Amino acid sequence: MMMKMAVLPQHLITDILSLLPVKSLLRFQCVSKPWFALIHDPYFINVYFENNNNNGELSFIVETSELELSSPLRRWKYDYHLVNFSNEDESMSEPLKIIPPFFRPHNLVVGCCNSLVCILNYDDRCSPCNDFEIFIWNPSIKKYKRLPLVPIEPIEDNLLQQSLAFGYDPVNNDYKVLMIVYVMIDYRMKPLEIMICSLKARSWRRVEDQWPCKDSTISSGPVFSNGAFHWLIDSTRAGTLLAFDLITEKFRVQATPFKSYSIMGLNVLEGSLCVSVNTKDQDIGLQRINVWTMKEYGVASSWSRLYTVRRNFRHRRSLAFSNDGKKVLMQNMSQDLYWYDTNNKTWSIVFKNVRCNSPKYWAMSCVESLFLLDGDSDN
Amino acid sequence: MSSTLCCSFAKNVTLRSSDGQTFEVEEAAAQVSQTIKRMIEDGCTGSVIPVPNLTGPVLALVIEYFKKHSPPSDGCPTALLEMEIKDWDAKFVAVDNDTLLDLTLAAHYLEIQGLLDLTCHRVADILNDNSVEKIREIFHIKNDFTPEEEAEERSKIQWAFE
Repeated sequence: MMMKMAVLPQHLITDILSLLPVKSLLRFQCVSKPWFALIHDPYFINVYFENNNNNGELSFIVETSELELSSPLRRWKYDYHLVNFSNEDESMSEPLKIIPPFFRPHNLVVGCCNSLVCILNYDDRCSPCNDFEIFIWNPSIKKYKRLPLVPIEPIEDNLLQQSLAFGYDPVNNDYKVLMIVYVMIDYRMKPLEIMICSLKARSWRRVEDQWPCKDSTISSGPVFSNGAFHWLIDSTRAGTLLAFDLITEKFRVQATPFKSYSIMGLNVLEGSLCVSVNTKDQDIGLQRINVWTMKEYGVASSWSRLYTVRRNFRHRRSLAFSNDGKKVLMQNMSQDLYWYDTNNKTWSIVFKNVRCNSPKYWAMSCVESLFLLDGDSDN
Repeated sequence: MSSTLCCSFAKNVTLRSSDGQTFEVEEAAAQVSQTIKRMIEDGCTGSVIPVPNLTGPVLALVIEYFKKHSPPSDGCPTALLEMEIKDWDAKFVAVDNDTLLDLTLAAHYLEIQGLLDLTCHRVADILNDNSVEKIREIFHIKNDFTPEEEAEERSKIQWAFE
């Protein structure tokens, strides 16, 4: 008998395997050595991610929070779930709880980028500032890499806070975590240390560029888009966008056409930066939220209005469009997920959060991938 | 295309398989294959078009596919027709595994993108439904791992087998 599968050209086998779910591919590594090599091949891993990313199915990690009554500190406990939306009828899959496999009992998702999740894993005895580790984790294959401990003195001062951001540097094909340690003085954020660590180098170094917004507070962000982290800054009456470029590792500041007090939030929609702006309808005195997008990245004049949401909807973030473009997947102040019909102004709830603390993390797109399968992971 | 509207019968071409069987098919239907379309454009219509990579039985199946997927005479396919074709496609690739792989290769050689997508998805579905052992059997793949190597790889991803 002829070895039929062997006669299929390699690229056809690649095409066929890239249609399979991750769990099947992990099993099929054991079919033969050529299949093992193919599934571990960085080229295949990239093709597989691109296919999954562009197949029209929406996948998100959502956070739920619960007050831990058993703990004497009555702390909030955060859980994370993977949800998928069908590309045919927008229905949602049963949420799948994902359990980070790390040593410390508490986890915060810092961010999610190209299917990799950055997790802050911390002890519950004290604040996350004191005893923590950072992991880059691929939940679909359960592999992770540990980042080294941050080489700064343990922070005892309760006034000190930290802000973390996770993103991808497309030029160096590397993932980077930015950490800003800051103190709040007169409601102003004063950074004391700005450190960066890349997944390839796996060592922390100081960012050389200076924090450019001496007299301002961060009102939203960080949001990763176009190779940079973005924050909304309240410096003057005009809302300002602060960006940190992951390629050049420099900050840049850009004005927006919106009044700073009217901006409700910053996020990414279809790859573009997007803000929700609170506006008052002059005629009938109703509050509305307009969602604007920066169509051309970095071009201030390219901000354009996408749609309007009623104020009573408590809109917080827009996450994605449905395949037919008529509905938008949104999250409200309580972290519930909704499909919002932008024409009829109607909405239907798809994911209800049971309890809600002020959210640490907003739902982020996270498709399945094989990233971290080809390198040396820490598990 | 050079055929004129007043023609009462469609123009045909003849295809010849690797084992010498010949099949007559409408030119418009055969052009579902990009490879055959190029040959017709290069002026191969006068003689028989050789399809050396396909045996008679496989070519016969591919011609069935051509006929179902040839552009409709009135130009625009209706939603109903599209659904009917989708059903037909599903039945068309519900064949034994060896025939399925032959069809996949045929779609590849003849550049029939629709058939290639269809067969690749069908092969993927079959893979997904089967164990590692069964896949080796279906696709005649030799297991070149030693038992120890295989056991080690399996132990690393035990959860994927559950």
